[in-house]
Amino acid sequence: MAHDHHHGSYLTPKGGTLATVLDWATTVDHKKIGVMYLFAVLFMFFLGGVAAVALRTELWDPVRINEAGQVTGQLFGPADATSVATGNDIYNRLFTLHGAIMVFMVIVPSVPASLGNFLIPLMLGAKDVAFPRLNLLSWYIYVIGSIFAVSSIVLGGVDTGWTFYTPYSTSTDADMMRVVYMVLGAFILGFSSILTGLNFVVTVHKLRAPGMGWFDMPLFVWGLYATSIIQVLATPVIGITLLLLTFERLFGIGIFDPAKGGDPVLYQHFFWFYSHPVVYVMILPAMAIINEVIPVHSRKAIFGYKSMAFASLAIAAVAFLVWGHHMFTSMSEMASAIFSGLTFLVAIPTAVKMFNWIATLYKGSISLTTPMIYAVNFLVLFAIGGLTGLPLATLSTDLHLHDSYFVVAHFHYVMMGGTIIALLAGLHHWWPKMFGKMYNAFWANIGAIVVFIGFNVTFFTQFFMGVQGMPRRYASYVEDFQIYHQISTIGSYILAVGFFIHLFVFIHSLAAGKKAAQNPWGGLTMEWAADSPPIEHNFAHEPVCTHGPYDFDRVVPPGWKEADWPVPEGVKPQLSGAELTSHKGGGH
Amino acid sequence: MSTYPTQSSGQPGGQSGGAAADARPLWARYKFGHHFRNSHDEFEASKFGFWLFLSTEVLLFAGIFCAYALFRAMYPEAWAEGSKALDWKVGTINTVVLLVSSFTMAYAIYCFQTDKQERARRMLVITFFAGLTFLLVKFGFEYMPKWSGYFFSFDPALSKYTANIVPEQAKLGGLIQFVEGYGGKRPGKMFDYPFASSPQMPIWWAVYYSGTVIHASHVVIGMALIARAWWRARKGHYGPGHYTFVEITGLYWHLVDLVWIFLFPLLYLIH
Amino acid sequence: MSASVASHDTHGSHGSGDHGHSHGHVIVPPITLGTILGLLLFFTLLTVGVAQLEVWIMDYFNIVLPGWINIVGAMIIATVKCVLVMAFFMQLRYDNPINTIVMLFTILCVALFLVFTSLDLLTRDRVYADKGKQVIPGGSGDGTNSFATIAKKKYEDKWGAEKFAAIKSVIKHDSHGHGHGGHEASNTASRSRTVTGLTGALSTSVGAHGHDAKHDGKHDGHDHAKPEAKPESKPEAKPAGAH
Repeated sequence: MAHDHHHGSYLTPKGGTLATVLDWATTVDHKKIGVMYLFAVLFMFFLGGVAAVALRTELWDPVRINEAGQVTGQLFGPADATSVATGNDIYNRLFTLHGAIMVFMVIVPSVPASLGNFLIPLMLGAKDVAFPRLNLLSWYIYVIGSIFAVSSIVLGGVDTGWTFYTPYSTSTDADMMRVVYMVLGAFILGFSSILTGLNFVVTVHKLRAPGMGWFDMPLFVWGLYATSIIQVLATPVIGITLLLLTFERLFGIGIFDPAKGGDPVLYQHFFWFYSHPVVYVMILPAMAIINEVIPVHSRKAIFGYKSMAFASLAIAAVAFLVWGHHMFTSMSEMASAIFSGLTFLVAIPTAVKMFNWIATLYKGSISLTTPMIYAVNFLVLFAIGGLTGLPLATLSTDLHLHDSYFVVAHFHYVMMGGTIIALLAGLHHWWPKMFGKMYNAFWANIGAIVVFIGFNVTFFTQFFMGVQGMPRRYASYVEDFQIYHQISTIGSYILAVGFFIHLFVFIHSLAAGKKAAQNPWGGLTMEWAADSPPIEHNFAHEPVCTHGPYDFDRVVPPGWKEADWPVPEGVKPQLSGAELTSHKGGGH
Repeated sequence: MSTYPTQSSGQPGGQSGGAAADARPLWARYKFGHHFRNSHDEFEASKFGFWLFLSTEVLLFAGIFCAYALFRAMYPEAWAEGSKALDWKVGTINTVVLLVSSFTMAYAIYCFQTDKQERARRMLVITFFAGLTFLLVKFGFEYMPKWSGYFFSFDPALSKYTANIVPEQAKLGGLIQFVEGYGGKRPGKMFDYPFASSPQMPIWWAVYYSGTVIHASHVVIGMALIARAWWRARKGHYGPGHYTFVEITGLYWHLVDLVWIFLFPLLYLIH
Repeated sequence: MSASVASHDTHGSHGSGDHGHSHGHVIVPPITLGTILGLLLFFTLLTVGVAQLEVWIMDYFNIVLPGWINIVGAMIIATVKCVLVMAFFMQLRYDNPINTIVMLFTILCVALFLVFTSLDLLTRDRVYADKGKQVIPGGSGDGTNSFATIAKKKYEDKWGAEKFAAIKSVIKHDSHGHGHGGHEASNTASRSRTVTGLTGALSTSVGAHGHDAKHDGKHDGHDHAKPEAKPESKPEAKPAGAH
């Protein structure tokens, strides 16, 4: 706790291998915890991705039994099968695995827990988050929850779908403990999410640097602040839901079981009261990243700062009003109509953000770096994802599209085209800051383009399938859909190649990357005033906020010389980098 | 308008005051986290964070209350019958126990604030045992008879069932008596109570047990926090300048009380 | 009783300004705490008393108060107690207002949760008219018996119908008495409050003489062991799934 400033970077090993491992395992440094979260999340992303590719491969051929009684087109199950049941079971388990991992273990914690943990204290000029030990605890809870969930897979898998709808989750699978493990895993992961959110809210309230008012904060922090509020207010409801579901499964208490007088629709209300807001837990941090990437790589102040900040809060507020649109086919008509109307409210703040980003790009000095390519990807994909949400929010069209591949495509455009793409944008944007190394920009750009192509090939075709009536979660289909499924499967392979390119780029960067400058992109937010990678307590001296986060027209970024960053005539240059810290990292 | 005394709190972090030679009590030597500006900020942050945590607890119980409300609307007969099966006297006793323990908890914090160490620890002990009383009453007079039909022989309710007591099934030398046809009031598929009038009684018991068991587990957690506070108070960790942990333990304990304030009328009083 | 407690500068730093000096903590004096405890105990007795009063009025004057009176009364009292605990024991009154804001937002969220979920329930019975043919409320999953019926049948098989009837008559008196001491002798059949809910079609009763499980839930007027007659039951409150 003492004020001994370590001037080495936070990555500097403390002694031998064992000592270093112990140091990381017991660290309360938000940067190390953020990095540990990042690697844990990327590992789970790999697991979920393998399941996804396996699913797409299975769907290459429809499953058929020919005249000889042999099963064709089945990837899973015994080769000489005369029954499709085993293979279908495995398919069901795989999509449950894919969904549960990607939602609970990847997308929800991805941006807040990794980049958020790393960057929020840096952006606020703080030494750490408000409760560093809770932060470490949340990481361990995340690991324990993931182990619970993955153990259910090792024991044979769960086939309920990631939503655990009753009565699937109360009646399928003779070995009930697998469902219980998976559900408890999600329950435990919820605690990790709550602790992260709680920590961020308090950090934003209490640990802003001197001079930093609410509207001097970077929009990344605003986005994560809104996210954290949702995490704190929505996650406990999934806690009680999954707890009751566990009771249901273990003791048969019947609250959600129609056969016992319970109400399965009540389960859906409980579940979506959390899981709809959590959709915004997934997308708000993505928007937050784009809020940073676009202005920095366009060298232009963000258009409509306050409207961006309030739009984040508005999305968080509306998040709690629209959960019913997941239940149009199970609810009463009146509630459906009301929820349908409320759902359209989401489009307003989302569109405000969209227009603001485009207005920021307009006449900006755009440099097509990897983060910027990803940000543009995001704008395209998220626009498609957002607009295809409107027919799903409309009651009449949803009855046709419900549980079809249209829904699958829509939420992949939002969740993956939104969150994962934005995570990659953020990762490439802050990678030099996190690890102090540059990556190979050429190959990273290639990777970004391959991911973009692969993503669209995979999921755009699914819109067509869905409109024509291909239902989701089926291992087989009528032949008419085969061409779409095959295009989609090829797309998923391209996507996988794109991610592997990034993996190699990152590994190469860690192993042999050039040393990164303090501020390679010319950002004005406070994390760029710290070293790359930052020292253990972030800043050598407590930084003071002297300018807004996007004042590119009047401030020379920290780590840059005025000659490289000409400030217009008549504007007094503010060498904030020199003022902020005694360190001047490697400037340009 | 008098102003009550306030205590200046804590020492700024980083001033290492030669801890070995320091004769001050532990609370006076407390150094706040290095990432805070002063100890008041740290105290406020801890409290704010804990209020956020409490809001998650409230929403956790909101699920139970929501299930209660909806099933009540669906199965009012089962709800009327179910709440009549609960003894309001036991519920009232437990309510009073929790309210008094909330007072002693708040009083313990006052004592720490004014450095009355002895009395503060005594208040913590009383609070702890109030929690224990709550659990024992809950288990002994509520869960056990309703679940199994076994009553403690000193349970006043037992006098009503003298005709149905089965002496052969008494246990522990007659300390526990079995009442024929009383037990089996269990949730869901475990339901085994033969005299139910409403077929949805198992759902009532499911909500009753889910709600009260989750609440009781919070009582246990609260007692653990109080025990830790008492243990550390013995060593002098808490005093006027620093009592954050006691403060948040108190907040948690009051929340347990708050949930019960709503559960009590819903379960026991409203038919 | 506590207006004398001055609220000190407990506002958070909000990240700006000079905070070199230490702030004080608010100390709520024991006299305030004791007063609050007294009030809480008073309100507890009040809510119990109101509930008893309702039963008493019903038993002695045969006046049935509408059910919402007790519900609203008990909830108002509980809310008052809740506010007292939060304001004084939990010190929200003296605290940084942000904590109060957190709680208000939480309560708003709880309200949204309850209101929208109930909203769905309000019109769901339209669907139940159709679904009732398949759904067995309180059923065991085998399509005919509820757990309550199974338990009754098990008991009768074991002890015989006479013993069942004998104990049932005790329970009938007691079901009121155990909940409301001192009124064991009250004629429970005189309680004629409508207990039909929003989805009345789901509310059925377990017949007392249900040797034949198919009779379960019939509101046959000869069912003298049934504790509650329901003259105001809606006609459509027939057992939907007993057949």
